[in-house]
Amino acid sequence: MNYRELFQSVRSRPILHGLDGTYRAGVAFILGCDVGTSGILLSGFREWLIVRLGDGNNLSWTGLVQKIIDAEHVGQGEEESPKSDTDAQRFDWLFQLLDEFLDQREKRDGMIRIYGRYIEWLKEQSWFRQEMLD
Amino acid sequence: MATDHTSGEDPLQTSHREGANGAAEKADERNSADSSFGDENTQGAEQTTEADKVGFIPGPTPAEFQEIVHQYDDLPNDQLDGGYPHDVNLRVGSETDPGDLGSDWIPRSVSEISRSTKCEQVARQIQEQIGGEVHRIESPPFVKNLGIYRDQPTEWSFHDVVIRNGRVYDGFTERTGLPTDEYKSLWTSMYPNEFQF
Repeated sequence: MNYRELFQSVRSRPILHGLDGTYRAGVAFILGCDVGTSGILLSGFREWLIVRLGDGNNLSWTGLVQKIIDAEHVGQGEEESPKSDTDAQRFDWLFQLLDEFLDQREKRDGMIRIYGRYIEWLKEQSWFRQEMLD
Repeated sequence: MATDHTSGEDPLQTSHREGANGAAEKADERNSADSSFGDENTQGAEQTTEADKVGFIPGPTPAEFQEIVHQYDDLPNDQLDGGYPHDVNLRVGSETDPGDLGSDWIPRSVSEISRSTKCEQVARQIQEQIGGEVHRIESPPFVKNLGIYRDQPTEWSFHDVVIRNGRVYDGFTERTGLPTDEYKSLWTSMYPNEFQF
């Protein structure tokens, strides 16, 4: 199955996939697809998100996605007032992030590059210890 | 994964320990002289009796602590290996005397739990202060996060804590941590056997 095409279809017309277009429904759908592939579908997603955010090594991908949406779209934590966002927008941004990740991963050596950047990032952290990679 | 900064013998550690013994002896003398201890010198004899019951090892006064600290001023940071506080038994004693992060320790609010980050850094800082081992609480297979902690939903894939003398410490515990079983009970979505401790 081509998951990028599936997710693009879900993103544009969620109702045709039994979803109400809310963020939580989108997360549940993606989680179901991931479990159906024994976790292979989202391999590297969490690591890719951590490097993109530059933080959140302890977070699940769902927590990371929300933090990235807040940082890149909503403006939370910045001096400016938060921009308005709706659940439908978060649904859209979720699938946008996932598509960017899948695009990066399917490139030549994509998975190696994703993990390589993650390990580089890890090694820059003050709390990093070599045994974390053993 | 677990690391222990309290074990192992090396010349630097031995040197620290001499300082620790000296500090403990001084504190003992002070304890018997004025019936007080640690940061609570002004609280009177009754509190000392209570402290004796739970077996506290008296810590040095702030001035004595600074003196101990300055013994290591010339050492490069990479030789301190976790810092001096736990080596000098500042507030650390027997099993009935839990490691104490001190009066400056302020636990983070539970309202920050959900998407808080940097538990790895907090665990390292705690370990540097009181010793012990860093343990990682990991989500079970096919589960996206650790569920509920302290009645708050988490978005954590894992959580690093410090375990010392049967007590658990993280950024949300009080200064003396919590007994292991009590700590586990705060994770209402996890089974006790899913912890690696």
